[in-house]
Amino acid sequence: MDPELALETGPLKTGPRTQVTATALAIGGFAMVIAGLLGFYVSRRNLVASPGSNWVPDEVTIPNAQLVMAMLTALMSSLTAQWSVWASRRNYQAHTYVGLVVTFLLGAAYLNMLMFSLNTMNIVIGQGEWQNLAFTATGYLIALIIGSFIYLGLMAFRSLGGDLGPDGSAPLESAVLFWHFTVIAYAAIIYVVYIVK
Amino acid sequence: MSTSSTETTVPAASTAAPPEDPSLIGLLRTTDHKRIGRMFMVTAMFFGLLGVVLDLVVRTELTNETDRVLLGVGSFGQMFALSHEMLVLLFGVPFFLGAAIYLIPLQVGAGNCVFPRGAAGAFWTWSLSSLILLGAYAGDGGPYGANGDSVDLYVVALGAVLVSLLWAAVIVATTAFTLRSPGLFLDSVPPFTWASMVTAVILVVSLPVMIANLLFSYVDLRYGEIYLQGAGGLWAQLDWLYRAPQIFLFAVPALGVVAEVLPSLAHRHIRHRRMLNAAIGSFALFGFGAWAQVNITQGEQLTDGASGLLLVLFLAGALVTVLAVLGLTVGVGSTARPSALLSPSGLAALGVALLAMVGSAVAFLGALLDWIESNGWLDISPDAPLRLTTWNYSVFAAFAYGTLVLGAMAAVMWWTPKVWGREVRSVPGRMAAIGTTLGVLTMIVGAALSGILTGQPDFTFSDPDFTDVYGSLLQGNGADIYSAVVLVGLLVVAFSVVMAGLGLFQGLAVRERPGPNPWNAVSPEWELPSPPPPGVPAELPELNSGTPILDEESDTKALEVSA
Repeated sequence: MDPELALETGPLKTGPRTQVTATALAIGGFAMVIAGLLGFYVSRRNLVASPGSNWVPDEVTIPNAQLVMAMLTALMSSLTAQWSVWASRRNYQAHTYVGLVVTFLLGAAYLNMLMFSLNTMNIVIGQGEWQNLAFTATGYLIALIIGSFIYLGLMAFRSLGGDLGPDGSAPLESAVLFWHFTVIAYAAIIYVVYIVK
Repeated sequence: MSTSSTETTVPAASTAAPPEDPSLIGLLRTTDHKRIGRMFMVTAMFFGLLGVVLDLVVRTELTNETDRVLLGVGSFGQMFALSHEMLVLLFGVPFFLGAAIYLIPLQVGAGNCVFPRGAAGAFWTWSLSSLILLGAYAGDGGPYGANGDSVDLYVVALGAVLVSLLWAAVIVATTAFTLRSPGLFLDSVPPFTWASMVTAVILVVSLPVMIANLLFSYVDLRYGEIYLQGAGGLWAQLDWLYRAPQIFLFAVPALGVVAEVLPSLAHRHIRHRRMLNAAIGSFALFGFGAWAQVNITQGEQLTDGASGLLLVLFLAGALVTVLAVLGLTVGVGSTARPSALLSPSGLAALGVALLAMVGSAVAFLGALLDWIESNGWLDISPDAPLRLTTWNYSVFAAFAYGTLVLGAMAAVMWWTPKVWGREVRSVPGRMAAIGTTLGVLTMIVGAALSGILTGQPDFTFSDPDFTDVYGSLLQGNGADIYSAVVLVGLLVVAFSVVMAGLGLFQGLAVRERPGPNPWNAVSPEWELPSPPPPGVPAELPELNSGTPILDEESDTKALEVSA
């Protein structure tokens, strides 16, 4: 075989969307954990909580305003994350980096609001079934959010090296896809556990 | 070219087959999909052997109604759980994921799997967490364990096993999706690639539900024991993974092996290939069993009402689709020469086909009888629903031994020339295939009869509080005899596993190597040298079909005719 052609062979065989595909599959797995957690939550509530009884203990106070505000902030962070992908695909470096910085700021804000809300709720783990279920679901959510920070941070750092353009933005797209997923996960878990209860 | 994929691509010019470093450092550093796949398969085979031994102990215990032959009350429950976990999570699933990591890049014309370091990480995480899992059991953990810390360690280790398997499944599916040769479409990839890809995708959406089970269980065990009420309640959270319909999913790669072996032995194309793909995919979908568990059904036993009917429909669908898969593959395979069909891999593939069909039929029949009985239309089995009796074990035996163990044997016998450059010796290979088939059939008959005639619970000695009750229930009704039949079947299977190992070791000890394609097989990997040299090949094949060898022969014939 012609050596020059041999050099071309490797890259041609590797799909450019590999990381996006793998991230999408991983998101499917993470989403099914949430489906399982919320399925168990609803199932146990239907089984254990009788009409008129307090499924959520009286001493627990849920700050709805903060949680909804955090959700809106999370949605805004999703928009700015998508903005950075849009800019990255077009090789607009300044827009990409500004979008990422704003995304991180908004992300830190909504994580902070979530942590503040949890601290004001008086949830004592081990005191009842609702507390344990809520702790598990919310703890998983916080782990997901921190994971999405790390993933987006790594891919953003990588893009600082100029890894942009239609093909080069795939890693950033993957991380932003995961970021969008955590925002949806936040909405689903907060809605079921703290709003519908 | 995306830099994201540089990890998966090694420049072709630097790929002149380096020798494998045999040291531990070499094993730790390897990023060659072939070596990672081999490590998965060999380690899984070791765990599988251990799983068979543990199940032998459990089945021996059940041959006596009340007295404990080998184990105490708590130990029985632990051994029961561990034998199931070893056969499925430490053997069946990782073996076929390893085979997929080895074979899929070769079958789709890729130089390596995606994220090869990730694949190596999945292997090491899985093997390490498997050892920790065994350590947790040794420290009196696991379901029914008495040591709280060891039970917690068990939950964490099982979670790590699941995460590493999911990691490997994502790599398998992504490799099949994104690294195919440009002309090779998804519907024409070889059947094993298709089956592995479908299995990986459904694993990715079903195993995480088990992780959710474990998360709740861990928090509950650590804080208050409100829900599970101790480690005794743990198994009820986890056993759906080893029951129909979820157990079907693990059998799908074995069906891929059948669809690979039988048509190749006949050296013919599979007609209605898309129908075969649809049938394999549907069987995998019917194997999504995360919904059929105590948390989702709110404690119902899935024998009556809408959930019972749903289970019957799921199992009916699985039966129909497995019949379609086997009809399409065995139909082509039946045109092979008898000597080819009687080869070790041919016999093993036929055995898998038979046992998958029998297992699906038994599962469907049990659910149907339970549903009929729960509606009061017929009084068939004594007391307990069949789902809670050893009828359930007959389904488990059909799939754990009939498709996972025998399917792994078929895969090893078929691909040993490709993986190790040798052939499994034919006499022990044939004995292993026939012995496993007969042994599993005996197990199915014994367990099913015990379930329907004596109502022997699947968990005879697992719960200390009910041991005496169960013992008095079974006194003198012959459950011990049926358990002995199951034990005999399992002994035959264990002997066959030893014979298969013997055939493999004898084959590996032979000096002369078979040619690159000793079976005259048709899939793309057989166009490569056997075994393929380590590292990424300098030249990758351009594929546009999953049967390039047959296509070339057809083209040659067509040219000859036109000439």
